[in-house]
Amino acid sequence: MADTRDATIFPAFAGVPWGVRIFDLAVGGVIGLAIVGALDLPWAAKLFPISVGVATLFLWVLHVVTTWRGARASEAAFDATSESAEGWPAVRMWGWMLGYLVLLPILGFLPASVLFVAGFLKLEGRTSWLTVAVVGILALGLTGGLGLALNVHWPQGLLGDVVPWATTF
Amino acid sequence: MIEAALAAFFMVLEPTHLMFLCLGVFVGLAVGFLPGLGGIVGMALLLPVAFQLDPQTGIAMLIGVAAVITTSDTFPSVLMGIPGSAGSQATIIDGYAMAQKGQAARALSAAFIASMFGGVIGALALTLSLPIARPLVLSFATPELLMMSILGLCMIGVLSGDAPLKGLLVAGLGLLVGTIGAAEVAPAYRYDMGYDYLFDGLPLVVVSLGLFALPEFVDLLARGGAIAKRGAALGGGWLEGARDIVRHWWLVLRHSLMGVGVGMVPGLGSAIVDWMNYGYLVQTAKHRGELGRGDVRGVIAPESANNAKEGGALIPTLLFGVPGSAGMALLLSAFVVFGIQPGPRMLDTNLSLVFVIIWSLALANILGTIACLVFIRPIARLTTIPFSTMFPVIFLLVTVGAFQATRHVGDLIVLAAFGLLGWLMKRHGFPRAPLLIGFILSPLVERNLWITTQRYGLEWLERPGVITIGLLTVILVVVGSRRRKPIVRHEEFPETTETTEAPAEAGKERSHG
Repeated sequence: MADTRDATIFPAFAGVPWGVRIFDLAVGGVIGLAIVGALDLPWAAKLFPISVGVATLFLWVLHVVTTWRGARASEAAFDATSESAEGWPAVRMWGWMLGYLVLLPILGFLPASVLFVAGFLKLEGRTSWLTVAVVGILALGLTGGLGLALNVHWPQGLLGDVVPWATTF
Repeated sequence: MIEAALAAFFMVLEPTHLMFLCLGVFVGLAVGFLPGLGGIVGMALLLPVAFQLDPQTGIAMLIGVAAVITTSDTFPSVLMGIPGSAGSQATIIDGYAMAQKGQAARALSAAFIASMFGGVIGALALTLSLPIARPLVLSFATPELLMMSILGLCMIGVLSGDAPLKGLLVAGLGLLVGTIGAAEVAPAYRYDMGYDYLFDGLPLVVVSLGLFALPEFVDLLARGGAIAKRGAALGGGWLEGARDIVRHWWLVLRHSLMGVGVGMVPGLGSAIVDWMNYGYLVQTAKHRGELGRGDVRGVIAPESANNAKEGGALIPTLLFGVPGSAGMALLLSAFVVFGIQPGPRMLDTNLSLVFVIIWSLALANILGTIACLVFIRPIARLTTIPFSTMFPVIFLLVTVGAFQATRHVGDLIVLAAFGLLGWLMKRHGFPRAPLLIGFILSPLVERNLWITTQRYGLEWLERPGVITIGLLTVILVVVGSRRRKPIVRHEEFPETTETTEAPAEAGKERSHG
């Protein structure tokens, strides 16, 4: 378990990468904002978030000091180098998922889902139209069925105002 | 107690109950054989459905999911050398080696039957723990429960992955995220930024799906379709696998009990249960034989343990309200949604539900094993379908699951935001399970802290129970922080070159919790 780490991580930590620094700083920023944001609250409401915030900030300082000095370097990049996808493939996959989540409220459920399923299977999966049809029916059938069972009302998007059926089943 | 157990047994056998338990088992099996997706994703997917049901049925369905994931995750481990979930990493070493020798069927049947016995022994251990733990648990007041929550948080932080400091830091972040929305003990809204959506806090289902499902999707998809090309032939030897279980019954019993023990400690859970048991097997085996090169004992030990640990993890979850793992934290939050307060009072007020959970756990393990054995060929074939083909179906289901939380566009934004956060955490080696557990425990800890300080002042710190748990926390944190050495060293298995992916995958799965 640890050998992969030993073999691949230490060389990568001659210096702390900027990505790690930015992420660490963002985490610190969030903790700081949480403390500041709680200051104006009534005493009973701010006691817990401020106590936890200060303790977490202390842990964050410890983490940053040890990591950036290199003492805990191997742990900081453990996931980063060993298995997490990065680069263009990861950006592309995020693009598909975020694109669908953005299109959903804009176009309505049905058009956004059809576009997403067909587009993804053809462009990423490189599958045949038959597979697109089978998976598409399965996906929309299961999702629609679950949506009906749970009585989900999809957001009324821009298109939904014009074509109401686009947002519902 | 016996009446409650019998009443619960008949309740479990009711057709509606059984149907939803089977649905849970089905989803658990499906999620188990999809590499990378663990119990949290499966449970989060079914949470929306569970909330539409009565508490007994809904919780039984969730138990069904959690119980069988460690049964079906053996398929990818044995057939492809890829862990189906966090609990099946060690199975790869001998299971995949057996498949390479044409003994996949024997490895799978031994694994399934061992899993079944492990799960049933876990349920039995949970049952036996009730009369023993009952007087102790009922003596707990709010200060002790608060300390138990702190102990759970510290353990989860310390034991999650190789980075204890990061684990604690993330648990703190989870507590902070949990404070968003209406304050527990005062008429005020915190961090709502003027959005109505945030008044009730962030929806648990959306946070858990974002943190755990989306990052796995990206990594599985970006890694490409290699999964589909590596399926091994099943071969014969089904009965041989069953005979192996009879031959090594002692191993099944010993490692099931070890699994229960590991499951009971918050934070240990799925990430190491298989390695710990495999390591123990290697160290104690009189004859090493083919261990590491395709020995059925190397399949039986981790598979017995990883199913048994669910029974163990339920003990602190039900009795103290302290989740043993991220999956148990989801279950805990389901209790809260159903209006059931987990913890000591459960044994008084909801004893029948406790027994419904126990029966469901045992039954789900049996049903899961039968399903795996009966449908082995089609399931084995399904594992060879490229993930990119299944992804649109799963992602649409995840979206429905997330959107139904409050039926607000904010759900989709939170899903995306926590998805990105989870992915960045994974990339930067931050364990994600402590964040979810901190998030879920946040209101509980705040409420208990408030009640404790208001009722006892500072005297609560002098209570013997509080001091004992406090000392235990310090000891466990110190010991846990020093636990750096890997349980199984890869050099011990130089022959299994085909399984060199296992250690790398182990790191990936570790953060599943």
